[in-house]
Amino acid sequence: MGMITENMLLESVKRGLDYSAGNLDSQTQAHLTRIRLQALERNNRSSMFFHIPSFSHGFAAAAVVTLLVTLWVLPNAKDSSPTQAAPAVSMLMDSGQKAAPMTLDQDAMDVLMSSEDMDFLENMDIYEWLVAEYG
Amino acid sequence: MMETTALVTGHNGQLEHETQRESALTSTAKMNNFLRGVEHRAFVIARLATQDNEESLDIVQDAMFKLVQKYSAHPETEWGALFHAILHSRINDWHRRQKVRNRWRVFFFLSDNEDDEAYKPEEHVAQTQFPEPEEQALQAEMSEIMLAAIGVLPLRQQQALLLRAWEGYDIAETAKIMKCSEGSVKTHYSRAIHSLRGKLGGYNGNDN
Repeated sequence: MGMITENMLLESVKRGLDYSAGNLDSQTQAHLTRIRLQALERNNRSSMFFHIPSFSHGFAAAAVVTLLVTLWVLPNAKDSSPTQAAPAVSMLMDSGQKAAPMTLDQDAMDVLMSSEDMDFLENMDIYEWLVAEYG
Repeated sequence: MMETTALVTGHNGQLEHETQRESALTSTAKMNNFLRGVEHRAFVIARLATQDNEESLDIVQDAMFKLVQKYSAHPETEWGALFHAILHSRINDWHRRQKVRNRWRVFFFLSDNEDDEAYKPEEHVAQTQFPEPEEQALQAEMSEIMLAAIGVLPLRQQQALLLRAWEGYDIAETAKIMKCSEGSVKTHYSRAIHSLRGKLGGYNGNDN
């Protein structure tokens, strides 16, 4: 029996460890399989949470933008100052007619927002003539 | 026109989602294969360091969880080194906790008879299940002796030996995994070899 060389020693180390790893008892093997599957399952669950389909992201973003624009634009339109509404008022009103500018502004907004009053706008000449005639 | 655009966008989104799902499944399958390939060796490494089956399973579990959660996206070629870095870090943490626990035990004069007994590594190694053939019995015996000898090495020597001789990492990779200098790795490794040679000097499996 001679002196063990480093290579022989390393070979023995490898063989001994390989043998141990390859001959684990069935209970330990089952444990290891279970924890591996748990790790993968846990990761899948967390990644499922973060991987919502991208088109859903798109729809959600579009909905939020629409809502924000609606909330931002509508109150501004309704609360616009009387001076800004003056030209519209002058168009709609005869010189003798004096109505509250805010009310007219509100009316103009209502007309613009509702589709059924478009006939009224198309026949504006007749209404202007009627107002001038019978004022 | 807008409806068509929405449909196309939706369809593309679905395709993208399916591609993502497929790549996630492929990634999961790859990770599963990787973990299956290293779990037994990882357990042996942890058991050599802790000499406790339950603790070893916990350490391997922690290492697996962390690798999967934090490093799944890393290239597959990096997984081995990352996994061993996590595993050895967990083993070091376990040893630190054990030291603190032992200090408290000494402080409160709690004597644990089991702890007082000299540790016999050969009593803790895995039992072979089918030792009938003579060669297998010999291998089992050699494995037990080897594990016992490695098990009593100081932790850092043990880590350097396992990473270099068993896992096949070079000095630089081993240093990264062990979070120490290359010089330290060389020292630990050389001491481990010297110590093993001293212990196994009278035993050579090839002579039998």
